Amino acid sequence: MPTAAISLRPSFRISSQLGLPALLVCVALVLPLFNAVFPPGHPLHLSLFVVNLVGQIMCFALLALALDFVWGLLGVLSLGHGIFFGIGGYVMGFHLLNSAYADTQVLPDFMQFMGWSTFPAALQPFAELPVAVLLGLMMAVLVGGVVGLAAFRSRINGVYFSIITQALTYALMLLLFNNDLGLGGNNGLTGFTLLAGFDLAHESTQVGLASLSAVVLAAVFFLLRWLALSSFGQAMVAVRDDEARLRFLGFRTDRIKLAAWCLSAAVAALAGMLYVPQVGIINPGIVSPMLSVEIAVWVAIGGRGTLIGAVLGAVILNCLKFWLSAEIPSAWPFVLAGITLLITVALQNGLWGGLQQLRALRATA
Amino acid sequence: MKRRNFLSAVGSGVVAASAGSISQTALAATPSGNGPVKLGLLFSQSGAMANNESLLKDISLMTIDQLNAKGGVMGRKVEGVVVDPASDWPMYAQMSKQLILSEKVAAIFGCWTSVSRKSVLPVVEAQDSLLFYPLHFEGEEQSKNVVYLNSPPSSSVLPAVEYLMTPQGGEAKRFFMVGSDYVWPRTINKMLKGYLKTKGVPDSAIREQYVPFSHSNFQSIVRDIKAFAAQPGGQAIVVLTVVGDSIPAMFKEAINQGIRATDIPILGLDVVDSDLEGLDTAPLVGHLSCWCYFQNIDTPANRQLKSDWANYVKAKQLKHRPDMVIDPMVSTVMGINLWAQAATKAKSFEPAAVRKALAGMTVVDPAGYIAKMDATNQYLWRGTMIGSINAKQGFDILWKSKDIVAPVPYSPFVKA
Amino acid sequence: MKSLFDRLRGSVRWRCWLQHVLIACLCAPVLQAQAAMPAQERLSIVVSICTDPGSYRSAMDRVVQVVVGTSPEDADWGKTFLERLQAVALICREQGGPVFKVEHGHVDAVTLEPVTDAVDELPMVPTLVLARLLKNSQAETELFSPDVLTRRAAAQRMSQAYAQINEPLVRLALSKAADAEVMETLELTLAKRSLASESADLRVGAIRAMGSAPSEGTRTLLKNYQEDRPDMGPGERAALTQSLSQINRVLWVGKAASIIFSGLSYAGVLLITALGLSIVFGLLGVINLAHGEFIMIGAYATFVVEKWLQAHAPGWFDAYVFLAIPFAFVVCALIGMVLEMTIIRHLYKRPLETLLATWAVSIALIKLVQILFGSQNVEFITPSFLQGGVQLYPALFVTWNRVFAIALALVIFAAAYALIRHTRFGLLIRATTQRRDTARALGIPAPSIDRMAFGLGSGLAGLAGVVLTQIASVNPSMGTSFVIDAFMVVVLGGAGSLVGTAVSSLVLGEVNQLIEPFYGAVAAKVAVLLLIVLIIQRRPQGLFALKTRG
Repeated sequence: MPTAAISLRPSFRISSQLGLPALLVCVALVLPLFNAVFPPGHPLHLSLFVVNLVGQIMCFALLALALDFVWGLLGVLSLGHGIFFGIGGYVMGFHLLNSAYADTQVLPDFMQFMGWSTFPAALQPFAELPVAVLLGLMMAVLVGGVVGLAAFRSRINGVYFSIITQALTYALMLLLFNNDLGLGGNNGLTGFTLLAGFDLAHESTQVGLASLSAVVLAAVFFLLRWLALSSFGQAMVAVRDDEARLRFLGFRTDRIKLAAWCLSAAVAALAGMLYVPQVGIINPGIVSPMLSVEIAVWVAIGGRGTLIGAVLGAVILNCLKFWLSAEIPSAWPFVLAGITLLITVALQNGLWGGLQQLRALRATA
Repeated sequence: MKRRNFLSAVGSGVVAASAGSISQTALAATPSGNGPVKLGLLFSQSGAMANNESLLKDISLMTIDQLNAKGGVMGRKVEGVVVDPASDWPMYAQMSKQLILSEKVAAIFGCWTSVSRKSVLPVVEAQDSLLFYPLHFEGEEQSKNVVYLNSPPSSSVLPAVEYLMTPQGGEAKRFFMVGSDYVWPRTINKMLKGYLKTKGVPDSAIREQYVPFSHSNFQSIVRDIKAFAAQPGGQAIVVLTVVGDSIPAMFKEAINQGIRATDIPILGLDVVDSDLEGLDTAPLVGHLSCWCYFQNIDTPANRQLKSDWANYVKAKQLKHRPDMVIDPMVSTVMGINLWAQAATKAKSFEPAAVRKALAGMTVVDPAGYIAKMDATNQYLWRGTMIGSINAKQGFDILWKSKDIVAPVPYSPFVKA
Repeated sequence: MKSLFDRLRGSVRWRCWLQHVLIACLCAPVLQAQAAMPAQERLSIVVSICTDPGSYRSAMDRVVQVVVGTSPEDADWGKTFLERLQAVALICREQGGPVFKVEHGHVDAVTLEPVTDAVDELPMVPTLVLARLLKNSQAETELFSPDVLTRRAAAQRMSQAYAQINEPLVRLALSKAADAEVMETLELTLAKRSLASESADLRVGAIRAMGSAPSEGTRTLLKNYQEDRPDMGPGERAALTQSLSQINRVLWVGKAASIIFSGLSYAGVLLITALGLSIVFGLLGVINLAHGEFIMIGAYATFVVEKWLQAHAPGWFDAYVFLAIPFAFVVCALIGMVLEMTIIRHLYKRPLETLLATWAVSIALIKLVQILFGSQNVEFITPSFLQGGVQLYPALFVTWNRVFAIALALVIFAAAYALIRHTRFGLLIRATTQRRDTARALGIPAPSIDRMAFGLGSGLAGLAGVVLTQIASVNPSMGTSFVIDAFMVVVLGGAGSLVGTAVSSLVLGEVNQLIEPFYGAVAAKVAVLLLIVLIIQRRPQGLFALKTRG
């Protein structure tokens, strides 16, 4: 057996070098500013449309990070992260409805056609932005906590857990589509005007939001990376690799799982909160089972367990999606299917993981 | 060091390349310039609305071809930019942003469901563009950035319900409302309830039920309808506001459970000929729908339109039926012609100028009227027709208004 | 024991006998009447239909008299008139007199002679009111038809439209009736009318008759009666309460039965969609997210068979469902085996990757079908033997397509069960999944068995698609709405246990249909999903657990 052989276990290692992540972060921060710095007509100018896209991709990358944290490091595949993304998004939507109502004194559309005449009391707690953000994070952690407790206590693992998260996301989507609940139904929440005093339609607000998304992405990335390299991260990896052994050694594995799971839920909710003001509408489609599986595909293609891989996968796939959907709409599903199949069958560690393996191979050769 | 730089360059290159490819198309023709002037066609070609909206996309392209054959508009060719929002409402918003900001279209023709229109509304308002909307809808809206080419409830739903309440129409006294769960059916039913209250119809004579989009199991609803109709109080009718795939499913269940129009008439407010395709409509004869146009009307303009469409379908080998023309298609054709006329009159393609020129403009309606754009609220004055399903998957015209009807954007029957 | 109704019929009949004789005598002159009707008479009937909505009723009555009573020539004219009016083929011209549109041209509406001049106007479309009168009039003429089934259907119509019938005519039909069912229905019709009679005895008799013919309609009539007459006599009141309670009891039973039936139908759908998955997931341990797409391919295979038969062998068209069964099975099994050979085989030990890979296949399949067939709904023409339904019991109306779906689901389940339990092939599958190495040591080719088992599971999914064409809408994304439900059924029932799948589909189907009438379809679905999650808490391996691979 050659000693230089690559271990059959995937090497989901977080690189302890800071260089590449820092570089990518700088790129991300700078990109939205191209719109402001360069005048229109300049080849490096990015139109508002593109800046908006960049901002959305940042949010998706954040969402992918959240999933990679529990899947790559903890070994729990959730096919329902859309739930937390949706919770964050809807809470931000409630806040924006409040500020739009304070601004225009006109009730949102869906309330008008449901026949309501006053702004519902249930939505009023979300009037202040910091309170709304806090409430959103808390709600995501709460829902995550309930799901996690129920699942991890009864040792539901692996595929059963994934299927149940799919079913839960489907149930939430059905509930949200129902207009009687007063959450906008099929119409979704629309009619946003102001965010923290800034006019959402204004170009500079959108540029600022895109930059903010990049900053948050960078900050969360470093936070999760620090956690992963700490002893908590090692415990997580140990749970992934052999939970039973860890339990017999006396660790409370369900607590570790629950903590990581709730953190991931909060990060996903944060992504949702940043996403909604940039898109201008939130609709139950965000909680669709299909989107939740797509998140897992981004992480898988980028390379799970490496955190950077998740960001890379989300960025590359969403760029491809936006580009192809505009140019050759009927080709996108085949391209996505092809890449996914390639990664799952051949390149099991994804793009970044594959690169790392290559580097390790070169190093030992 | 080298590899790291290379990788980061690749990373940013990928993002910039995709960004570049999108912004490149933005350097193409703008409304002021010499190249072709672009019109955005925001119609789904996949998903639940594909069946209906692809008809509108194709007839738009046909009308644009006809405009170009006559020399274009103000000497410039017109180009239709087709995008596919895939029946996903947020995608309509996204694509409309793309059309206005990237493609720099002069106007957008698009949307079928009110949900999609409401998604696009903030975008066209923020960018001060124009959306030409070809479907009948629930009213309660009057935006300077939308041109409403078809009727609000005052000229479609109310005349039909009024007719059904007259002795000739069967003296309907009880109403079972079944709708898809979104803004259009909810608003229509709210308005209807307000209207019926003014006519003295008690609450016990009204039932309301909503189903999710694309719902197809109407077994228990049809059972409830039969039970409702058997109760005392007078003739019961069904006001059907489901859309898309739910329509044939509802009709099939009604046929199978023995409901006939002579017993319980169904007024299907969003039913067009394409929804009846593939159904055996002999048991459905007598159910009603109301629109501004039915293709059986015999006028020279309609004959021309139908033959143009049939030839176009055959020439381009499209998957549509060459012998079927529905109201939204006619609205789209009239909308494009109105836009061309207005741009020529205003000598400009800027939405603000076109909008001013549209006020009061007239255009020939194949339904046998001269349609007229309102002077202030951007609604198009059309005629009203009530159609009865016949055995050949089409409609016979039961009643039509003598002249065009004034549209009422805000209904007095919708109370907050 | 003679039923109440029979006893009453006897007592009522001899009183009415005299009435019937009198009427027969009165109508006899009408029957032997004019040898031929003057053309003016016909013209005036047609003109009043064309111009005066207020005269519809009397015009229709006159037409019925014509068909029933006069010479054969006039009767033929009357029948043609009714038929052409219903077929929207009466053209009321402004000049030149009314005409009928016939296959090759037009004929004069009065003389039925061909008309040569060009006709531009569109035919007159009957309003709902006229359509109703037409239907009743046609039924009235059919009361005298030589065919007994037509007479029965006509009598039912009379009973339904009892308020608008021509009473002397119905009495005449009753006096001439020979078939027991026709007589019963016509007597019920007359009883409904005699609720308004002057004689209290007749009214009591009518109330009792209603009680013996329970339906929502008779209940409504009696309730109206109760409200309209607060001062009725004690005999009437007693009969009324008795009849009402009888009707309520029967209707309650019927309603419960119809809920159970819908639950069975839903359970049948769940069963066939989950069956293939139970084999693939339970026995092979493969999460196949493309399962819904196999269902969809089965439905489209049925579409292909339907279109082919329509074009090449229209005589066999009604059998398209049966012919589609082997076709869909083979197509889906082949696609499944190809899938297994190329992709799944590499992923056996990695369930999470299988999940993603099959998801990728599913989106590619959906897009492929969209490109080939278009993304709109595909409509299926229901075979003639599956159209309509039957009123099994008051308030219980079953439609044939759902009965067929339930029956087919049971047959497929039984066949699959027999295959797994009692055939050699099933034995090989079970051996390979329970003790793989021992099986291989005995010479069983495990990889081939895996492939064939996957093919079997996919083929069963295709069969589900065939059954679903009759009761659900078919479009490229139909699979996504079934796959989550199917997984839930398998997870609850216990992966690998066919009996578990059957039991859990029954439970879930009934629970869903029990909740739906009260809280709506969405709430029912959500409640069922939450219920499953709760049960899995207690029993993670499902209701009927079976040992599976890894």
